[in-house]
Amino acid sequence: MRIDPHRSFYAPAARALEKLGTLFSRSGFGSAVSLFARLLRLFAESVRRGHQATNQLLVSQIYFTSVEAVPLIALVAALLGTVVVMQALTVMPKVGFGGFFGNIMVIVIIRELGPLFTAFLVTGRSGAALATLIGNMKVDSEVDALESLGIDSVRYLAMPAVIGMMVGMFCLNTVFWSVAVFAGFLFAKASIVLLQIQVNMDLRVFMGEIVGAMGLPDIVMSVVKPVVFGAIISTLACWNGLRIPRDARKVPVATGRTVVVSYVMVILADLLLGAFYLGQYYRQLKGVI
Amino acid sequence: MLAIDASDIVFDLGDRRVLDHAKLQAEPGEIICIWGPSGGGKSTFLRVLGGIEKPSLGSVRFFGRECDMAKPSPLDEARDEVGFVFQNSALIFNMTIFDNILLPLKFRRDKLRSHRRVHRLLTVSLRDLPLMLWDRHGGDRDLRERVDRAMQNMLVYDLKGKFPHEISLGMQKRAAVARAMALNPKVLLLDEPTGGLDPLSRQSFLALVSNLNKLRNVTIVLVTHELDLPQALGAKVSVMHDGALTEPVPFDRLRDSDVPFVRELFLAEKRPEDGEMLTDERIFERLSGPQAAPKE
Repeated sequence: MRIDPHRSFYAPAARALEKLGTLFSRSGFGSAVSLFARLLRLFAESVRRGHQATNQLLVSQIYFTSVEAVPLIALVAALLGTVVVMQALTVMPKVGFGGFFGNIMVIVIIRELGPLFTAFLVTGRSGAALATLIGNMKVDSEVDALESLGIDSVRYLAMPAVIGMMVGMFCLNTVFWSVAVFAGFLFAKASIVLLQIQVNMDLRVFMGEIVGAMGLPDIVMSVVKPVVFGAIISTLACWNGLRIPRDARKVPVATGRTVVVSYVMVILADLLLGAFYLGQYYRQLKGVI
Repeated sequence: MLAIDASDIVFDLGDRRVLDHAKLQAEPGEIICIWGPSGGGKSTFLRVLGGIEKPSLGSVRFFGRECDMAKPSPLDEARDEVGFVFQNSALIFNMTIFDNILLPLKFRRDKLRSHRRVHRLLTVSLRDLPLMLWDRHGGDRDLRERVDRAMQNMLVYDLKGKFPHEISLGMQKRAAVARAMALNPKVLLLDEPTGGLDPLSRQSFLALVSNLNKLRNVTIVLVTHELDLPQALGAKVSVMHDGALTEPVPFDRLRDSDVPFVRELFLAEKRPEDGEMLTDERIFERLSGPQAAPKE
């Protein structure tokens, strides 16, 4: 016996769900999410079928996002690491020195500020550039030209950009916290020598403190956070670039919107991922409270 | 079988009806010029044919294959045999001319490569294994030779390492045709192909287009507002008027057209061989009627 889906008991609920889905996909957020889902599907298909046409673009996106940004990221990371240790030194006398630097570096740099600062820098540099590039290509009919040649513009332009930025963000984040931690150590060492503080502060002890302070959630999140942030920034850049009409005035608007919305969405995602930490430390918190 | 069969194309832009039941039919190997004044909807019609714009109504067939008009896209398989050359050539600005032409070939190869990589590894014979591992370069070499040939045919071989901004507009247009022809389409759509070209580049470009039509039997539809273009190519002319297209006729029959607008437009063209050079006021008067002519 065949069941008519339009007359079944669940039909009204299914119709409501369908309407909700349509409304969601038509909304800005929904269409950005569906673009990301499509990108993942295209990537899986490319890997499965051994497509090579976008390989070069993927490599160049990773190079542009990560390798070319290393000097900027390293500079900011070194400054931030120094600032964090400088602030930590001001409270040292109150809380003691043992294991303090490692914990502060893990909590502030590796767990929170590293991915966030990297995301902000990548948004301003690569996200804005990507939105402008795609927007200009749209205005100059280059996107239409790609399609007229049988090339899916999402597969050619967006997929390598998004995957490349996700990989690039992970690499940059690793560079960021490595440089920040090392710069922090150098500053702490210099301060201890100059201020003649009696603390054993060699690199091995410092790194031991950091490794000791890092739990499994920190290791997982040092991968998850930058990858998620990279996905957000690049998807928003591609989405904003691809949806503009053939009007050159809209390109700076799309670029600005990419940057602003990326900042907000990255912080929102950081908040949601922060809830993961809270869940992990719930028992400890409960014990303390 | 008709190469192109577009019927009842309606295209609205806000409140304005740009295309009003426009029709066009072309036999294989024909050259058709869509001619008319600027802003008349010629390029829009061409973009609808190419699947770039979505019409409100209408249907398009290429060699009997119906295009999906509910969700038109150049990626529609019915448009596999169609090449499009844009008014501004639309070459990818951060790629060399060579890579611009290579790109569609790479994507076509990927599309044809339907076997899964693991499946191929498991089923390939030992004899073919080195060949399969070498496939990437071998495949590329084959494609590169095709690009070289396409560039030689369009006389842009010397520009293979140049970027689009480093070459002249005429050369960009040639490269764009070479890119569109790399996939061997049976239909070529050209949007204002000679716009902005100097007379010499224009003449040589037209010769190349004519050769494409004669040697490869490519059906060509081009949009222009220059009336000597159909003469140079021996093409039929279809005039865009009030959002609709007139029946394509040979150039010489335009003067005797049933449509008054077509006759007027034909006469409005400055044609030295007629012995009459029309002044701007005279053209304005002919197009708008005597009552609309500016008063002194």
